[in-house]
Amino acid sequence: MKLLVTGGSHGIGRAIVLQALAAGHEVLAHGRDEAALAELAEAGARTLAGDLLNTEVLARVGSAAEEIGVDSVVASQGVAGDGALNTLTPERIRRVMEVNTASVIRLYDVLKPGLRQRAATFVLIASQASLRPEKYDAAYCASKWAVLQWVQALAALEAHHGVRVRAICPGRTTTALFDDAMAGFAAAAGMPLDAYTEMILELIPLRRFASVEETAGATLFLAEHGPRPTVLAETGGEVPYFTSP
Amino acid sequence: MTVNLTPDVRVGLLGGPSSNLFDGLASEPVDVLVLDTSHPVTDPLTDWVLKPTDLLFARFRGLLKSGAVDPIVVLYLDPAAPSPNHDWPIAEAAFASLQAVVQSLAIEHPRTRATTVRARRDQEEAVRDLVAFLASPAGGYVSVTTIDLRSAA
Repeated sequence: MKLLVTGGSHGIGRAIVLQALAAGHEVLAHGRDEAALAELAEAGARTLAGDLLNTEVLARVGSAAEEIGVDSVVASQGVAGDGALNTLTPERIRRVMEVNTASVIRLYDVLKPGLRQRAATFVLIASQASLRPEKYDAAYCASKWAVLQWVQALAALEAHHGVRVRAICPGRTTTALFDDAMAGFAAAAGMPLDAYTEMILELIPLRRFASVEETAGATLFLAEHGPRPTVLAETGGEVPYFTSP
Repeated sequence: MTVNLTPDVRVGLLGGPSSNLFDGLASEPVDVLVLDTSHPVTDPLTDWVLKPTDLLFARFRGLLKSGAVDPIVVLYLDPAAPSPNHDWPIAEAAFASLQAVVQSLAIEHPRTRATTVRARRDQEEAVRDLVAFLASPAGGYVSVTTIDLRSAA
């Protein structure tokens, strides 16, 4: 594959870049952290730094993807959106929606001609928060529900053009973003972090969080060409997923 | 698009044009927030997803701060008939975002009754009947749910 990973500096995106390189794929890694991208470049990735909320950066990502002939995309950019309603400022709410929802939709629009030409795959990293409401997480839920439903509607339309649009809904995966979110949830619930963590583990049938390598591997499974589900829930059972007739 | 953010107004617009559909809704003891996607817009991502989400959070904040105990209904209106120019993926994103906010905030704030309703723009009678039901004692245990009137018969 010739894979573009946006939001590839850290966390799940970074793990995807590294696993894809190890599997012999060509990778264009986008992110905001130039130092982190430099490490990925040493590992063999092409890199491109910038904020996807900037239209010039978006255009450069599009051009670079076209130049390489990208035939698979993983949109991994995202920001946490946890917090009780009285702590969520309008600015933060908007930022969460811009990064987690709007930037993905705009990215697809920029890449669409090339993706159609190459019958590519486009995988979005949604969340288990796409699958249920969560208290102290309304802004994040809004952004992830929106983008998951967009994927499901778009998948039906773009299939006619040969593009497979898919989403993975990871559960609690150990990354810095997750650590920050857990601290935020614990604070909102008025609990010490270790007690909150213990309570959360009891809710997960597998009684553990996902490793970033697991989630990266599951995402790459969806990114591959070949028949794959439109939505893959990877939640350790914490959030059951089912489809209605 | 005009939006009135004062908590005592019973009908608020999240997006789309005003309408006399709302006159009937405004007399019920229920707060109705409406996103009407039946009219074309040049930037559906902003006008259907980003701005209405911002406004919905602001309205919820206002209603909860005022100690409102009446149920909250977020009404999403589709076009009366399918249109090839309607951006369906973004429309679905918009609906999903509103649902997520309603349900997440309702479980975050106990004893807040909040429901999302989806209907076509021409289903005025069905919408009025449903809103009246949700405002009545018979609808008192309905919350954190989405009611889709599009297939109502």
